Formats: sequence, structure tokens, C-alpha cells
Amino acid sequence: MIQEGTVLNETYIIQKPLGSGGGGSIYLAYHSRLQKHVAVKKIHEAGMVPEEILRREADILKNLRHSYLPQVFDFLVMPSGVYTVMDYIPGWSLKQLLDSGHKFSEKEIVKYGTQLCEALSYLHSQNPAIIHGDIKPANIMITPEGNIVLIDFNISAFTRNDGKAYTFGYSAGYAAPEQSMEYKRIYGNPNTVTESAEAARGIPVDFRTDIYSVGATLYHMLTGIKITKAPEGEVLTSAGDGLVFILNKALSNNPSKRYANAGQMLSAFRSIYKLDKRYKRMELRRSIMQILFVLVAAVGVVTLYFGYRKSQTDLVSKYDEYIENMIEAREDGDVEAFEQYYNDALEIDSERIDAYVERVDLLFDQHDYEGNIDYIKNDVLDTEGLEYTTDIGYIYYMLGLCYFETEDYSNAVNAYKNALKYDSSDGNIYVQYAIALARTGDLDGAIDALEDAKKNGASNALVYLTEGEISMASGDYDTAYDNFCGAQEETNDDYIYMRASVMLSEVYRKRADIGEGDAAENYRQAANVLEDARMHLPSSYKTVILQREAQCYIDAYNFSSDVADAHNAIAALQEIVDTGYAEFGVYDNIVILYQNCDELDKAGDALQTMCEKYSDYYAYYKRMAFQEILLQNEAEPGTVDYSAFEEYYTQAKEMYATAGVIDMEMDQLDSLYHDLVSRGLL
Amino acid sequence: MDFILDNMNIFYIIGAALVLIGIIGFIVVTATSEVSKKKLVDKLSKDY
Repeated sequence: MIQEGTVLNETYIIQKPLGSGGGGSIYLAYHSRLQKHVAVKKIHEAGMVPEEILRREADILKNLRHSYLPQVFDFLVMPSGVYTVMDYIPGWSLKQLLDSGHKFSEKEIVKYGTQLCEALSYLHSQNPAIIHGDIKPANIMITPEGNIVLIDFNISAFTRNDGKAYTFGYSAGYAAPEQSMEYKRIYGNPNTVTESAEAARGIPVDFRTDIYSVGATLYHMLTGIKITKAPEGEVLTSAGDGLVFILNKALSNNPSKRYANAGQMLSAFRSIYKLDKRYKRMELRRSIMQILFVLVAAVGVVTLYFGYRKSQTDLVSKYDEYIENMIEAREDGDVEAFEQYYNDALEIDSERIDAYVERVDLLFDQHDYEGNIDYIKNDVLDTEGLEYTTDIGYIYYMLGLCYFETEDYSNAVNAYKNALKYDSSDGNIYVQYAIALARTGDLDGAIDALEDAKKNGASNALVYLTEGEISMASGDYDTAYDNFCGAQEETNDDYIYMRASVMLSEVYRKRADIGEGDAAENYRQAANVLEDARMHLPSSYKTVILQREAQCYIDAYNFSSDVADAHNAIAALQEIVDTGYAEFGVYDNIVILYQNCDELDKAGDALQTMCEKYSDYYAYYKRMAFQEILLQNEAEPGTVDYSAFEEYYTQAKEMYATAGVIDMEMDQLDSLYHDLVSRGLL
Repeated sequence: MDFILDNMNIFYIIGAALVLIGIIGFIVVTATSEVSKKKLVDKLSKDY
């Protein structure tokens, strides 16, 4: 006991005792130089323990600056004892308030709990961290301003590398169960002196023992009851939701279930409202509503996807429908409708190949081979993004056929080569490739290609046709004849039948060319073969066959001068006219044939028909001029009049000048005109 | 435009409506709940 008025270290004038605890007695003193009150703590164990242990509290507090922690001013080692001089905290300790029966509201508990956690968080965040080790109402002062100050760091300790600190005491009712049990295990009876290494080291404590002590202190404040034994399960049930949650967590018997440090507990206090049932209900309600609307939007996205899929399916169906319509229109010969469906299909998908394939087939059916070549090269193969399927092989195959029909066999060979790049398993392509090679004179290549065709399942008819072509190219017309007959017999394909028939007629024409047998008869035989084919084939091949047939009869007539041949040729040409697809040459040949047969009346009728279509073409007037010459040649002497000839000649001459063609008959006409002029007939 | 309209189907209309309802609903719920939360937090802060 220090007497009032005692002056310590010539500075601190002792005024009165403030209290006494396990660590020492505390006195109110006056700092004579600073002229302010300070608290002087006389440490009890002085003389029994080393100085570094006595300095523990001073060493811990000397570097700390926090509103809720006391500040140490001095540490005195004097003959009368060891003293720690620190802030004087006016007010009352929580213990005094509790002992006086003060009831703390939840709001006060939350406030003091928050401040306590702030102070503790500050201690826990030091390096090394500081474990208070003895948080209890007696060590918490309430200042007149209503704030806490955490005091008595007598058994506090710094953490070591393993995160543990070691202390030498505990306060029953506030210390964590593991702290008190460990103390009892190591030290047994508090009155027993234990001198083991473990006892010298102390009781292990960590952040969570402080957390428990905070919880126990607040629990005491809230309920007025001190926890007397280790809690099992939830110790608090009747208080605000937030406070119940925080205290139950802090007071968990299992340290790992408590807050890991004071910072976490401080965060819980600062957002304690989030632990309230009302807040949780509101959050749950909001989350449910948000999830609901997210689900609605998700269902919307899925529906949109289905919409997209359906529209894609619809477009594919529509495209397929257009393709079917194109096929029908092609079969019906309705080119206008075909073109409309073709454009509609391209509008849906210009990269799909089906529509192009149909148009290639249409142009081929129309025998518009030049147009088809232009279309394939410029429109189909140049289409950006065109899907490359085996149909591309078909397109090249058709390009090859078109080149073949225009007798451009080199390009046909190249087209077939390209076709085989995309579809190397189609015997038909090999066949056409072989035939094109035969036409270019590459007989070895043709034979190899024919072998490939056989390996890839080319039909017998096609094999016959190809062998016929190879025989034809090698000049073996008899074998060629047999092969083409074989092709005709074997095939069910109209185009192959047509090709075989044309080649049969060509055999006869070749025989005529080389003088084998009667030439006129050979041409007639060629015409007969074609006539038979015309009877056998559908009307779409009629024009092509008739043109060749007419030419055969014309060639026969040129050799035989037999009017019957001319009439047969005229009949064939007339049939072409009847189809509506006749060009000028057909009309012209009819007129010429009639003129050659001296049937000028019929030639006149044919010219009249020609006039209806070609009155703006020089060749019509040319033919009229020739007709006039023939008419005047047969006129009675004295009635000869070449004025009509002159008129037609002049008209033909004028139109020929701008026609941009070379016509030998026009030279012939010039000669006739000048002859008539020289003879004074014009 | 005509091409799009020609190929528009009922799924597009329903899907777009649902997406719109979902987005607007989400925004409205979030905004209104923020206001409610602020009021509740003020009230709870007084309680604690």
C-alpha cells in the first residue's frame, strides 16, 4: 500500500488507490511535469519474477496508439517496487456497472461489442499479433463519453511463428474452454507450483480465445449471467437475430467454428442488420424475384432459339419446295416459272448448290450448251461461300458435257478431271472423260479412263458407248458400229441412247467420207438411224435429232440429186419449224432445197414464212434476191424484170453492211448484180 | 425487311416478349429492392 502524497521518481504524486487486481494495485497519481492525472500500477510479483516478465504490459502497450487502448508513459523499477505509469481512465469498469445492477440494452451491447472488436482487431493486426488473453468486464472501462477502453495487458502475449501466443492465466467465466482446461491441465491447482517446461512456456492462446472472451463478456452484459461452464450448442436464443448469431458463433465450444479473428467479428457487428430475419426475408424475396425474372428471360432466349431453329427449318423446307417446283417447271417446259423459283431459292440461300444444279440441268435440256458453260463458269463456280459437296463434281461433269456438245473436247477433258476430284467413284464421269480423251486423240488415256469407269461401276451401255468412241477414233468403224448398237440395246437412259444413235449415224457418215459403199446411201442410212432414234426418244431431243437428220438428207441429196432426198430433208426441217425453235438457217435451208428442186412456188411460200420472222435480217433479202433471179430465169422472154431483184439486192446490201458477218453468198450476189448491169438489164 | 417479316414466327414474338419482361422485371425488382433495403437498413440501424 502506497501512502497518499508519496512521490515516485520525483514525478508522480500518489493521490489515492483506484483498485487492486491479480496483476497489481492501481493508484491515481498526478504527473507533476505534465500536470495531468495518470494511473500508476504497482506490480505484485516484483522481486519474484524476472524484469522482462514484469515489463510485459509496458512493452506491449508502449507502441500502441488506439482510442480504445490506454497509453503507457513510464516503467519504473524502484527499491519500493516495480511500477507502470499509464493513462488514467476516468469512469467505471463494466464489472462495476454489472455489479451495480445496470441493465445493458442490445444497442449498447452492439456498440461496446463493436468498439471492443475494433480494439481487438487492432491488436490482432499487429506484427507480431497481440493476444490480450484476459478480456472480461473488469478489464473494460467505460469512459464518461460512453466509449470503452480495454485495459490490463498483464497476461497478454505476442504470437509466435506458429500463430500461437503463450500466457500464464485465465479468468473463469470469460476465458475460452480450451484456455481454462489447458491451464488446469498444466498447472492443476492454482496454489500448486509447477516447474515443467510446459509450465514455463505457458498456456497456448490465439485470436479465437480472445473472440470467445468477447462473446462471454457481451453475453454477461446481455443476460446478467456469467457463463460458468463450457457451452454446448447455442447458448443464446432470446435476443435480436444478429446479436444471437454473433454471440453464438463467438461462444462456440469448437474454436474452428468461431470467428477466425477480431476483424471478422467486427465486420459482423458492422453489418449486424444483415443477420436480422427481416433483412434476410427481404433479401430472399428480392433474390426469388430476380431469379424468377432471369428465368423468364432465359425462357425467352430459349424460345427465340426455337424460333430461329424453326425459321431455319422453314427456310430449308421452303428452299426444298422451290427446288421441287423448279423440277416440275423444267419438266413442264415453263422456263419463266422455273426462273422465278430459281431466284426465290437463291434469295433464301445462295450458297446451297441444289438450285444451281437444277438450272444447269435446265440449260442442258434446252441444249443451250454455250449459255450453260457461261452460267457454270461465271455464276455457279464464282459464287462466294458455295457449299462444296459432291454436287460440285456433278456441276463439273455437266460443264464437261456442255464442252463436249460444243465439240470443245480439250476443255471437256479438263472439266471431267475436275469432276473426278470431287467424285472419283462415279463411273459415268470416267466414261465421259474417256470419250473426251478419245475425241482429242488420246487413245491410251481413253483406254485407261475406260478401265477406271469399269472399276467404278459404269453401266454396260456406257462401256459400249466408250468402246465405240475409241474404235471410232482409231478408224475401226465396224467395231464402233457394233459397240454403238450395243449401247443402244443396253441403255435405259435417253441421253445415252441419243449419243449412241448420233454416233451410229456418224459411222455411216464416216463410211461415206472414206468412200466405202454408195455415199448417198450411207447418208440415207445415217438419216434412218436418226429417224429411228427420234421415234424412240422424248420430244426434248427432237430438234437436235431432226437437225442432224435433215443434214444427212441434204448430204444425200448433194450426192444423189434425188428429189426424194431433198423432200425428206425439207420434211425434217419443217418439223423443226413446227417445234417453234427453228433458227434462220432452218428456214433458209427449206427455201434453198425447194429452189434446188425447181419448186419455186413452194420456195416462195417458205420465203413468206421466213419474212414473218426475219424481215429485218439481210439474209432474208439476199434469199429473196436469189429467188427473183430464179423466177426471172423462168420468165417468158419480154416479161423479164429485174427491178424486184435490184430492190432486194439493195436492201440486203445495206443491211449486210451493218450485220458484222462475212457471207460468201453476198459476193455471189454482187457478181450477179454487176453482170445484170453490164448486160443492160438493170 | 420483307424477308425478315416473311420469316417471322410466333416463337420470335413470344421469345422477344419474355426476354423483355425478364430484363425489365429484373431491373425494376433490383431498383425497388434497393430502396426498400435502404429503408430497412435505416430502421435496423436504429434498433441496433
